[in-house]
Amino acid sequence: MITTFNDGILRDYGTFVVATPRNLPHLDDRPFGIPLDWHINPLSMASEEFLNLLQRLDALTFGPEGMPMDKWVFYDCAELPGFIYGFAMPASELTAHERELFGASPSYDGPVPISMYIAIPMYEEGTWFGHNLASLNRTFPDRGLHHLGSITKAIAMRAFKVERFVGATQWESKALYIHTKFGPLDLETTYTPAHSISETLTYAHTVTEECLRAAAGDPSVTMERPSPDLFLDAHDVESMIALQREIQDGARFVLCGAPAIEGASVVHPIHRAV
Amino acid sequence: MDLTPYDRILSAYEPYLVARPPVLEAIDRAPLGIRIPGQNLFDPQHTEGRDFVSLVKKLDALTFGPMGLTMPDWVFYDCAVMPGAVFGFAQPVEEIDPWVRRVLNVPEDHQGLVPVSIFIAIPMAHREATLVYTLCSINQASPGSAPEGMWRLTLAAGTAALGRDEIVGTVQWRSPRLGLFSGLGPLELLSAWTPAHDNPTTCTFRCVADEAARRRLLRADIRDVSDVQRYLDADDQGAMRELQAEIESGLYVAVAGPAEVRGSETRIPLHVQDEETITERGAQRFTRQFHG
Repeated sequence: MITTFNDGILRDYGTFVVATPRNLPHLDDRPFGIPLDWHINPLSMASEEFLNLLQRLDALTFGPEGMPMDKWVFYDCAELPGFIYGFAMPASELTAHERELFGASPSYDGPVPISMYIAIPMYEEGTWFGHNLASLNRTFPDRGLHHLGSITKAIAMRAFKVERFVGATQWESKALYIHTKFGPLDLETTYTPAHSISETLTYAHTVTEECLRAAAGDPSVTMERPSPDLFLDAHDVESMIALQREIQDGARFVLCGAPAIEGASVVHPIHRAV
Repeated sequence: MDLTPYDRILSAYEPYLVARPPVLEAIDRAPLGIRIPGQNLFDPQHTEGRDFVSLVKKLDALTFGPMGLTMPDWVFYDCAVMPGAVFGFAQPVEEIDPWVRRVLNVPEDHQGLVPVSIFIAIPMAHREATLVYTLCSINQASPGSAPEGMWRLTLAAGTAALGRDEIVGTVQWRSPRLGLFSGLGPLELLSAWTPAHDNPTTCTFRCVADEAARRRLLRADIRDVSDVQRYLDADDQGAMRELQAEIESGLYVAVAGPAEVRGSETRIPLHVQDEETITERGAQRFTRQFHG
């Protein structure tokens, strides 16, 4: 088992995975001993309402200013190649307000997702790309779902058998508070024109038992972190480009930990590795 | 492999690849014997080459946008060039007709190559097949601007470069891409009605894409469909649902060949048999025919 920031989530909610029948055997269906309650087959017509609820979960998490995923993106880029894992509850346990927010049909009595983590297998075996992390802890404040995002991501990575993890996010994103819980992050890019938002960083780290437990909130685990050599302002595009040029010339940088607030600025601690 | 029929493409267009260095090291840099020049390799994590990558995304938007399937830039990064790679053909900008440059919205000051076809493949968790979720060519946006066969050669060379011997794909029943994919061989249906997709009239298929399949595709073999058991009306959503229910109950169904069109009707030939029979008969019944 695993000790987390919020063991009530493990006690009170079930888990689901969206996986094709061919991918399913490659999943650890008892990550940290946590049983899998619902398997959703994206190739089945019966899965339609649950998959619609996942899209709704994405919209509820990120709001209109986020980067909403079309259904074809869910299907082609997540459900067919990889896995979607998260926590859910039976529709019968939704309040009337929650049911309305989700837009679930009155007759639906299946699982309703409250969090999801999506990762896609990369060309290098054992390496996965983190595609989406959504959770409703802020949408449903009365449910006591704090740290739901971190816990979902950590358990999902164990379920997916991730050995090396790669992700992309924006320098201004609050998600970095979650991602840095997994330890120091190797920076593959600091400025990324191929992405919708160039001010995106690409990070990577090796996945260990220790880092998953630390991210989920096990108080007995602490991650060693290098000391920062410089601090990057989340709005300083010129410095992002300068760091990117150095990376392209062979330099290596590590994001040491979570961002810090300095006055009106958000700054990121960065260690020069080479 | 005899590529003589594709001389018009091979003499005027160059292959390109957008891939991270670890992917570049692992894949075939001369698929079908077509060498990809070093200067046509683009690292999506580098700022150099951003103009070319931007044109790749424009071509994708031009061809899939009208179907409501435009790929946002972040999806291109997260779901294409990070996990997998992009292969295609390109042409030097000065050799592209001005009207085609306008269609592609190529910047006036653009130098170098302009992509004219795209093949995107990414790994799947089971590692036994590659997922192909983009295949397009400039001929869809600017009909006649590139030689016939651009799609076909891109699919064949793309699977050779990036694929395993099996691919999984998604395609809409009315799309001409269905006929192109069926040139590889029987397309075993994993779904015939797909509510998980924005367009549920999408089918999901798997098929063999080994060297023999690529040879068939490039020769443009016509399959003998005399043993077709059934046809699917490509506009009949009720029939798609019924077929999906049969697939979910365990029936093996495969697309046997390209759609047949008569008047306003489009029908898809289907094999509805056990897998062993399909494979054996399918392999034997290919006949070479010249596409004039």
